[in-house]
Amino acid sequence: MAQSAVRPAQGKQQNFSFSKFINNENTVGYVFIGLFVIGFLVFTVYPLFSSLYYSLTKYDGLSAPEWIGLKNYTRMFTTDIRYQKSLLITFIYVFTSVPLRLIFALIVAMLFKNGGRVVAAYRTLFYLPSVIGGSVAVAVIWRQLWGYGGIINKMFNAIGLIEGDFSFIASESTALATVVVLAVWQFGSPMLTFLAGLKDIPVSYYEAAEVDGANGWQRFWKITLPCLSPVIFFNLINQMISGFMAFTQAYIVTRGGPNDATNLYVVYLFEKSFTSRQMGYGSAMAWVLIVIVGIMTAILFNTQHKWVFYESKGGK
Amino acid sequence: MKKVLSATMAVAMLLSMAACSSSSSSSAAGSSAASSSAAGSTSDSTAASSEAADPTAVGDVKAEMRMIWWGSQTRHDYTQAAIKVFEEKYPNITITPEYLAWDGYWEKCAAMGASKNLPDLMQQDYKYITAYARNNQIIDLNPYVESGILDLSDVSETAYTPGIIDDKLVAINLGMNTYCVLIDQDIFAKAGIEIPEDTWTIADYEAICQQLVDKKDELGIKYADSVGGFEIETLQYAFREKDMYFFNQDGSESFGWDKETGKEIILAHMLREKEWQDKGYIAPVAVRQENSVNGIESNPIVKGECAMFSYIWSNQAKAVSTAAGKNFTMVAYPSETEKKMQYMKPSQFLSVTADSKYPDQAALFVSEFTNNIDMNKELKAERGVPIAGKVREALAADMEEGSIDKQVFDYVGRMSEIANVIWKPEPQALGTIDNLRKNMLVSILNGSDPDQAFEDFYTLALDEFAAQA
Repeated sequence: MAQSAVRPAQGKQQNFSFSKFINNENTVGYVFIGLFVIGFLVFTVYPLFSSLYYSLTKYDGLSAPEWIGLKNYTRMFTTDIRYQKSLLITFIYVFTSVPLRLIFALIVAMLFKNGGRVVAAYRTLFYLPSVIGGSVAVAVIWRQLWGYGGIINKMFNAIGLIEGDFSFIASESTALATVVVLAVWQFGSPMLTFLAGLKDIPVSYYEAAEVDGANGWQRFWKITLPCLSPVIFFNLINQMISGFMAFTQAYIVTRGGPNDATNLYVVYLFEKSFTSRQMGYGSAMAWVLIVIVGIMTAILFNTQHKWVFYESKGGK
Repeated sequence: MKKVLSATMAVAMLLSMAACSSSSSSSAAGSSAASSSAAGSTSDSTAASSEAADPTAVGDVKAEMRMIWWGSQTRHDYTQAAIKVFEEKYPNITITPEYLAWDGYWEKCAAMGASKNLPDLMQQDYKYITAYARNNQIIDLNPYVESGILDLSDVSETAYTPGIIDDKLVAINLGMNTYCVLIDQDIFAKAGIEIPEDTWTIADYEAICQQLVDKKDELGIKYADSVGGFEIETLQYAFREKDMYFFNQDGSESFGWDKETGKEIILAHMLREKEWQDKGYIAPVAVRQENSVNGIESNPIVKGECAMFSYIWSNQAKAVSTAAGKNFTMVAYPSETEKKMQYMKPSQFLSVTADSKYPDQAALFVSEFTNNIDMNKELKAERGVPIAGKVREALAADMEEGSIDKQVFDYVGRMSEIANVIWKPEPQALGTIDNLRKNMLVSILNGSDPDQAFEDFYTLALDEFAAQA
């Protein structure tokens, strides 16, 4: 009985500590980031490390993984010739599509630099391919354009470069080029960052150069490019990473064919993991890709002091 | 503070786990009485066969079952309608459907299998029945056939043998498909060529191709046969012609041939294809490359650019006909002799799982699914042509004369009499081996050195098998 008299006080204390706890800024902060952190741990960190484990096993997704050590990694670089070919094709793809896409994006951005309302509409239009470029509908149209008797075929017929029907998509020598062109066509997002970068360059530089008698070409080389170099660097890194991870275009337009001519890294990774159910091998391929992308990024970062111009560092 | 948060989390986890398991435990409790009475007739197969259980008595038992399948929305609607028909006939039995798309189906079933909670009835695929049967996750239905619960009297042998694994009938075929050649009868009539019989040979095929190619311009075609993409089956038939199999039939990850013999058969097969291509019998390699990516609806036969489309599944004939806006004629794929190499492919199966509390009732459902005409009218042969003769006849009777649906039924019915028996399910390495084979074929068709192409194929294939084994 004596206890019951004490209880309210205890309850009050508990209430007090609970409300203090729930109103604590830290608690609120943790609760707000909690969802993200849980999602990050469950859907990113856990799969990341389990894939590292799977890459050292033979795993078909159904039965338990079986430890095989580094065999998956040695297989890639010794017996799997298709892997090596796929790696080569991916490098060709990245080294052609990324620079081309950036050049294209820069040209279009330069055109749009000084413009009114009409240009805003065009900007949206030119961004569209980036949004819809990975869709199946575009792939179908792409196959029509570049396929047998397609428009591109007819154009080449008209200028007399090709006689008769020719399929760019189904021919080993030209298939990769069609995929590269599709990638270049999706220049929207680098274009937007270029536009933002161009607007940041002070007009006074150009005015001063004009007074000094610099022509358009000189202004581009001496002002635009150096001032834009941080944006170019940013775009280059981003586009290179997504270039290595390119999948959709090659998969839906050519399915990696003909004769593995467009068998990009991730397309092959997909085949190994999901068609042949070699999840372990697929995971190992993914980890090699991470290392490759890491090395390429590191190279770019380490060479940036040679060509990237940061105003804040006094031109260093 | 962290402790309180983690405790809340833990409670939430526990609650969700409890919610997951509650459904299975309640059904288990409710069924224990019924399953004990049913167990007598199932576990002892000799007793079951001598007593010959009465299907209606089996149907009177109160049972709550679950059934799982994969498929499109059409299939979900049709199957649920068919289940309703069954439940009306046997009011004591209820079936709760679970359905999803092919993606994710096997992952979900693997998870349920691991927790011994598979639905009573499970749609199965030819690729997976061996694994499920050997893991004892699906049960032998032979005792139910013997006891009369599962009636297969109206089913031809080629239709149910694919469901036999290690002498156990673990799965019942739900529908049949088989390869066919689509023929544009108008072009054939114009060229004065008769539609060949199902028993036609490859020599006949070549002769017809030659006739068509000779009148190419007059008929407005580019080549005689568009052929689909680069299907592996033609090569597998080439091995069957020599009474061999492309893949080893013992279930191991290997070929069914030694290098010398295999090379001979493969190169002979592929060089003949090259010869056909060079003579204009079949579409050039790049066209086939496009066909294989574009899908059957844009096959050249739809545009009247060729007279034949060999190598297409019977259940795809409708899509091609719809795209073309006209019906094509279906005949069997030619083989070296009159004996057909093509087989009847089960589109999918229905199995009774070992986790089922009501195996008798589940077997009864399988039997009704196969033989019940009203149920099959709801199913509309969406899973392929039904295996029971009477069901086929009843469905065909409702079809319009001359429609492509009826043709498909007639064709599959005709083929089930003369088709070859199906081979064992392909090994895991199939996906990659098939790509390697495609690469070899494309190289040869493009005029590369066949020996080198074969060597590349063989080395990589062995590497692939080694990785799978």
